[in-house]
Amino acid sequence: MTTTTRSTAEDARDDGLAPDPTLPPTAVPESALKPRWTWQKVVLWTGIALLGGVAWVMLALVRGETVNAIWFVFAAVCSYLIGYRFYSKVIERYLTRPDDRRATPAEVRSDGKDYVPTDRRVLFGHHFAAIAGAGPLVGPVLAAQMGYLPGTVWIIVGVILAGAVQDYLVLFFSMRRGGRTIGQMARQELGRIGGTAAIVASLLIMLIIVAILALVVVNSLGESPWGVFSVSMTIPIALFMGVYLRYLRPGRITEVSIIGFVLLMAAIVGGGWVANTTWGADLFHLDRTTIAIGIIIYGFIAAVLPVWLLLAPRDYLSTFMKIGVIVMLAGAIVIVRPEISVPAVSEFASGETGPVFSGSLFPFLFVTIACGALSGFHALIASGTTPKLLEKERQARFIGYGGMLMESFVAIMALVAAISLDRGIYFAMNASAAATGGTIEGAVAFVNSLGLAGVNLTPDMLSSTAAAVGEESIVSRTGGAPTLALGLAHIMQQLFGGAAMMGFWYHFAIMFEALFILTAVDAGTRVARFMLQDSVGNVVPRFRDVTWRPGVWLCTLVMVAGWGSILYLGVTDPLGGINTFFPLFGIANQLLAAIALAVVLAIVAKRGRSYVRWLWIVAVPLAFTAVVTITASFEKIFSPVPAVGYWANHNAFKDALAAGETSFGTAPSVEAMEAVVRNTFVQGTLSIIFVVLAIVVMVAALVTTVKAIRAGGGENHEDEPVASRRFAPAGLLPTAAEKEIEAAWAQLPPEKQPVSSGGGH
Amino acid sequence: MGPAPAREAAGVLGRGALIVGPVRDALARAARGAAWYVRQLMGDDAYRVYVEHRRAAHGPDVPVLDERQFWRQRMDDQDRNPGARCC
Repeated sequence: MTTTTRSTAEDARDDGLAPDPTLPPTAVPESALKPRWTWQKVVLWTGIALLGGVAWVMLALVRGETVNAIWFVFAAVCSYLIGYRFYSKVIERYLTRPDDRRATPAEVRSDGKDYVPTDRRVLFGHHFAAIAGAGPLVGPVLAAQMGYLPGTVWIIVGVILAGAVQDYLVLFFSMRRGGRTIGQMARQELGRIGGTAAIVASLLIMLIIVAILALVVVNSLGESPWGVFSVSMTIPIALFMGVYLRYLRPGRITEVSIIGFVLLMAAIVGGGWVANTTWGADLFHLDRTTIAIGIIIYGFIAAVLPVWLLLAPRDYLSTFMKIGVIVMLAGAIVIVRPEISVPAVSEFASGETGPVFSGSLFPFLFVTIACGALSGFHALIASGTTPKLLEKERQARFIGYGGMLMESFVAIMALVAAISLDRGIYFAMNASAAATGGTIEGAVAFVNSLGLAGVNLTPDMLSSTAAAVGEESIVSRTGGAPTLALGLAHIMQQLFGGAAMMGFWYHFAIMFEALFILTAVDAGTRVARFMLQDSVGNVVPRFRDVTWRPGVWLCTLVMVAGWGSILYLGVTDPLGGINTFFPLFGIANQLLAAIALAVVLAIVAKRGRSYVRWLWIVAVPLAFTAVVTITASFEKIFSPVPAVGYWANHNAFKDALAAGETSFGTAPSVEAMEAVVRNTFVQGTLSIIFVVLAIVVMVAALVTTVKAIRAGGGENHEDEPVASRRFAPAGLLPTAAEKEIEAAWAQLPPEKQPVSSGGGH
Repeated sequence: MGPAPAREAAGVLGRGALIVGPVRDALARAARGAAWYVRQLMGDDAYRVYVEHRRAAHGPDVPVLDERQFWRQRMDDQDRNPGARCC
């Protein structure tokens, strides 16, 4: 091992990046970057590969009565490790080619506030908290309709080849462009048409995502006094935290988060007591429409209030809870190791419709899982604040690729929690009220009529489960959140507290999902309002001024009306809002991913000739996502099967109304039929808009890419390289060479040490 | 009589007694590390970073906001530049 206390001749290459010769090296020299394969490493990786292989065999090939949940954990973790160690390194070596001698924007524009070089482990947590939410918790639960195997395969394989690739590349290229957003990058690389389409698509998709997530909350809180109480309490708790932080003890964020957490736990316990009293049950027993209106009003107020009062405290609480909940979920599954009796591939996998979501496995499985494997929304986050905080270029792999792997792991845990439930209960909970009639008898009849192997639902099972979790009924509690909460409760009560605690665990899960979602609703409304003010500001400059209250209020109103109207349609949908609207959410998310990957494809092609043979790393996931989402959109638009195609459904109901029928399918009245006609119109129109925008962007990107390949490169929009004056390891654990360099930096006098956040450990 | 049985007891429980020390130290280190991590993640040290940065960039006598003002300004900045939170 060469001593690397002074920069070597390698580093003094004359490309303007020669580091300061009085400082230790700012990058591990190229020669030390080559992997050194010792026999211990070979044994380790062979072991990981074997364990992963065995786990996949157990999941995919062995057909016993049950399969143990631990195999999911092993298959996931081993696959992620191999994907991270080998595939992401290929991407790093041939596609991104980071150079630690270059200063990142955090270093170049360092301002102590927005651009702060941040310790990679802390930034990983930040970035993960920003990308993780209710998405990976909901999608896999719904996808369990197809059995556990299709979902597991897509969540694990999809993230390694598509999701984590997108996150890493967007993060890296945004960092090279000073932290520019994906919308701005699209405009720069694809021209005005492609760029505008990308920005409009992002805005619309954000509204849909907010609306559907709000619908998930509504469905989990409908007719649940305990749930409504606990979630309502998060508002005064957040207000208290906000005031505490502003007036009492500014800057004590961890302290106030712990206080808030304790209060939250008290609110959950209190909710159980309140729901058992008559006044409590009366006051907090709200139907879904009322809750939806409440959330819409809340969304407006929360987005106009100053950040410090409500959003920031909720954000702190969410971040605090996200880490804890995920650790708890993973730990519980590993310790309890439930036996899974759900089949690998269910009866619905080969069909075209199903009670939870309709559509064939291809393409709708991928669309339903969305965030767990590949999420376009992450492109907005990965080109948001994270690229401005990266300390060294080579850390983008750990944070971008690694962060998404972690989210995928959360999705697997959510899937395991959902499939640990009895199948009969699962379908009773996730079938729409139109199918079950909303009653226990109806649910039992419906589920038993599905003809599923090993499913024998009795009314007692449903009523005792509902009583155990402190709800009046669990029938048709769609949206994935209640199912996950029940699965979590089942698992956790085997760890702590037994059956008496099931109510607590169930409502704990409902509450944290609502917490994450409502924070995302608030943040999403603000971002959408910001984008609107920015665009309108081009025409009426007054709107650009964010301190001009009328402009803020008006734009907030418009955006809240945007997602609020979709939410309202979903809540009043006679066919079951989640069941018909969720595909829109998934399609929108995947289309945004296709847009992000298309922009990245154009960027990579423009980098030069040596990149062309590695374009497949982006082209393969892009092609797959494009095919999946365009097929899904076309099926939703053109399919003649009413359960699948929005327009087919629309026309069927319209014709029935015209023929004078007063009930049709599962819509029992003329009003209901008209509601279906209206809803399917909106759904069909949105599907068309999304797919057209996405195709525009993809075509623009393809044109740009082909031009760039022909020309052997294109315009370089990256920031000018500046020599770095700091050093930090690239991954979680420093390598031997990195430790040497760190030691050399530690020997410098304190005034020469670089300032950073996360220092001093 | 005192020391010999104690030493014998230590011999029998010797391994147990030796483990408590290092294990306790390791647990304490882990707890300190977790506390550091959480505080960093939540952003408690934002003010310190701001002050250090100002002093490093503009000299030790540069005027800095006091803590209360700093946090108010930080919130105002967030009002002006909202960050997205994912799904």
